[in-house]
Amino acid sequence: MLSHWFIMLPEILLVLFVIIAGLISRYRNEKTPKTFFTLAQFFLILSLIFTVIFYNKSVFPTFLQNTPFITLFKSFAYILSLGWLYLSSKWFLNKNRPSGMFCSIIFMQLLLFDVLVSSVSLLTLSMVVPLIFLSNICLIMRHWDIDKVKPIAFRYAVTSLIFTVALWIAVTVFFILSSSFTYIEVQKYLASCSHNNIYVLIAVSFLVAVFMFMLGQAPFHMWFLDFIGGGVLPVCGFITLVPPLMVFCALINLLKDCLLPFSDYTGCLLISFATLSIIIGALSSNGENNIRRLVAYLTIYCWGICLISLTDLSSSSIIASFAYIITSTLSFAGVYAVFLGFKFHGEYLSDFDSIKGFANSRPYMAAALMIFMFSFIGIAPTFGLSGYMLVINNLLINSAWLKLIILIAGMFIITRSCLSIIRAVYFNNTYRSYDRPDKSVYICLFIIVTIIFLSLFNPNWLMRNAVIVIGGIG
Amino acid sequence: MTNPLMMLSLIVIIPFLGMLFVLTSKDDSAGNHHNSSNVAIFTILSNIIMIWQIFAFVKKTQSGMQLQQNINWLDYLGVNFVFAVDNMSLLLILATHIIIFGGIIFIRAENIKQKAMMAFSLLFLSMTTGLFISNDIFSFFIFYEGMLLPLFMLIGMHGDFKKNSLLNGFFIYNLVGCIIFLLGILWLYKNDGVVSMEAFARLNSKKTYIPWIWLAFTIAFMFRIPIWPFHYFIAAINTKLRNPLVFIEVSLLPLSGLYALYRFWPNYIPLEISQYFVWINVIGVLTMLFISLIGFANPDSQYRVFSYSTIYYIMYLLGIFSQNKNIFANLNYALFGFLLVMGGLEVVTAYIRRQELLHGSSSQGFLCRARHLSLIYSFLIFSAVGFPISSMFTNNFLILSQLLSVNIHMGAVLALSWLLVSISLITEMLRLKTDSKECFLGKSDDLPKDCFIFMLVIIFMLLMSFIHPLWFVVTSAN
Repeated sequence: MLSHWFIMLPEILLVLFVIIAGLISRYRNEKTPKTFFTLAQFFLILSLIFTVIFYNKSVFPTFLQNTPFITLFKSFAYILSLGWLYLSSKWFLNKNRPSGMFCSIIFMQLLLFDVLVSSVSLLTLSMVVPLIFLSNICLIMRHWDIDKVKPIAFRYAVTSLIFTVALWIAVTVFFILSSSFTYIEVQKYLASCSHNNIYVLIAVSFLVAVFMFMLGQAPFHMWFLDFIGGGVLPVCGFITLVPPLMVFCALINLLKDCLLPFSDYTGCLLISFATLSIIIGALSSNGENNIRRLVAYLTIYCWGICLISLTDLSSSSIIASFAYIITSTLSFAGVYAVFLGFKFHGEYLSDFDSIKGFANSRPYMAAALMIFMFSFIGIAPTFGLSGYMLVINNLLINSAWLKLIILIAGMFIITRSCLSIIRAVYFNNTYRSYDRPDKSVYICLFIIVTIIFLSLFNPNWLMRNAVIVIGGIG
Repeated sequence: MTNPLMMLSLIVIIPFLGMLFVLTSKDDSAGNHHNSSNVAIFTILSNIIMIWQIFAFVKKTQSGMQLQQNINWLDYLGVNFVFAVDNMSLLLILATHIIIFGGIIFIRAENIKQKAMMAFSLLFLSMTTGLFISNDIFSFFIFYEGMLLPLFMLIGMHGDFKKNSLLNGFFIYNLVGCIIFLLGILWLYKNDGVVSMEAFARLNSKKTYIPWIWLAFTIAFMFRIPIWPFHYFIAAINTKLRNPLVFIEVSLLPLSGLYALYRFWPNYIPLEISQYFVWINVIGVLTMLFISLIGFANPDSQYRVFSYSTIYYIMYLLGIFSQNKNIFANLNYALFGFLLVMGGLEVVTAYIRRQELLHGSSSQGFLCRARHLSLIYSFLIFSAVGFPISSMFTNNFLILSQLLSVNIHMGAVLALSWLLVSISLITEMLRLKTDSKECFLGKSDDLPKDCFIFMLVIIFMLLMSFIHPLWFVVTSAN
């Protein structure tokens, strides 16, 4: 019995933080964003350590199961969260705003995503997904100008309600047909049922659609753009970096452990969503004047690439997707760190004109941004090349010509928008004295660029173990 | 340094490290504006010494790539960096180092921000060096594509382009070539698991997909050579550049395409494919004629240098397509001489233009007053037009005779273009040597000492390359 408590330590620690943060907010007078970050890093690191220690242990195996593959994603998400909380604390310090609630919501989200990725039951899924939607609403409401974000939150609430209903319908259909909620039982049923069963097809479509909505994939991407365009910078960064990673992991679990007999159908669905996302992401980013929204489109595009590589669910596809995720997520982390440097008179800038000539006053940050942008294009000698190379190689191995054409077309279109950022930052003689960025921004950028350089010269240190872990589930 | 195998990776790493040092150098205050160029000069000189050392380890009599070095890269795909060199690659590396060095010496005297320029130039040099020593297809691709990033940044920062579409177009156009190359590589890898360049050359061309892969590679490489219909962006960019360092670096882009074609040339080409080469010859000579006519009619000295370099690049391309062993054997020496002449000419031309702008004077007659400049300029022009004073002479003679023997009309057009570009260069020289009252430039405006010494070294190397191409190699090691 005691061992169960130990296995649940990562989740317990996440909950414990929320309680302690609440108590500090309530009773401690001298509380600053630094206080919450210090506390958060302590709990998050401990949670990460215990997640790794109990990487294959589960307390409720009927509902939740941990595997090395899940632990890989969880660890990556925790590390990213830790980094982003560190940077966010500087944002809160600069704005002189309380960060307790923000940190608590982040921890609650981590807990919910923790459950989501470990889930092996549709029942767990149907309970945790609405809670994630709810936590997203809480997150977007962390804005001092509540009137600005109210419509965004309202639109999101309505849409997420529709998707919650869709999820519940799908789960109910599967339960009625298979008399079970567990992935294994549902999979057994799907393996024996007709592939033309309209109820099953609808249920599968609904399930996939819910995940696409959570990933912010087109045509369900509007909420994501709203969040990035309207939310505060810490929320934008977190929404871009962590949730898609966890949702992606949960999607792989669902597709492999539950919907595998319908992989042809789910593959078609994924291709449709991915194609739409690549095209919309790439094209729309070209016409965008708000740099944060531009990056949001870039995110949609990048996740589209991950999905297009994933469709056949082989281990090589998952490895290719994973490699691409690592490269793009690290680049996004870097881009958001640079966004913290786009500061003028205490205000964080987001329009395109405001970054013109950025390289003249902040050469190192501009250089980092340039590296990340070229990485998105996937050009040598940047980190993005290895991600693209693995994805293209995987598509070629599978002779997936159409996907390859879509990917390459998207790549050329996205190049233009990435170049437009580089041009604005570098090829402009405008001089603007930006506020001095916090040291933490430089530290984070240095760490990210170092990881990128190390991975560039020796990608094996990052990929070798990942390949073993992912190969095990393929 | 006793281990020659380490040296190959070092000559790629040194410019890269130099770039990092440049980035950390303080170069913004008035007293420190030479720091970054000093670091760059020191880096390039160090690398030149390393290259000179490597020459000593390469056996001149042995054919094929030597001193092979393997570096693990991506185990999952089984992709490694394989480096190796031969005389051709070493000569090209040396030439690129020397001409970029020349460009930096010129830029050093300019009162402009040099830090970013030096950093990207060193990155470019690192990528170019990596390209020349790559002995497997994947690493070749990485360096081939890697040249674009620093080039795009250099052109954007120092190109003064009003239209962003041109800059974007240039980048995307080159990216298209790289993607075609990558698809070809991955297709080859999927079918044969081939990553070595030698293995590719040995592949049986009777397999149905091999000609297609070869076609993809050829098209990808042609994207870098300003031959019709691939000429627009390189020509448009190159003619608008006024910075000699950037001009030299952009001019090295066709060299990468040419070198790639040379390296990927298969051991055996079936007649069904080689019969189409005549079309490339026809397109090539027509492009040459077209560009030489523009160069002849255009009074801009920069354009004349560009038309000269383009015509020679196309001539070497035709030389490769001629499949003549003698041309292949001499191409390295010819390219070495050509690069030195082209780089030297660009630096001198940029110097004359700068003096013109600085003093608001005409440059007509400038060479009558500046003796050092006159000596350098005259030698470079005579060398450029093919006088027997550099190694270019032999190869020009070989290619021309080969094309004349294949098709007399084509050879005649090539000779005509060559003549036109030579006339345009000589006309420019004569203009500079004809004294004029509108010229306010005098003896004091002659080449600065460092530039003059550098040019003398280039002249010396050109002369020696004609007498004995590898005169500088320490033979005892062989």
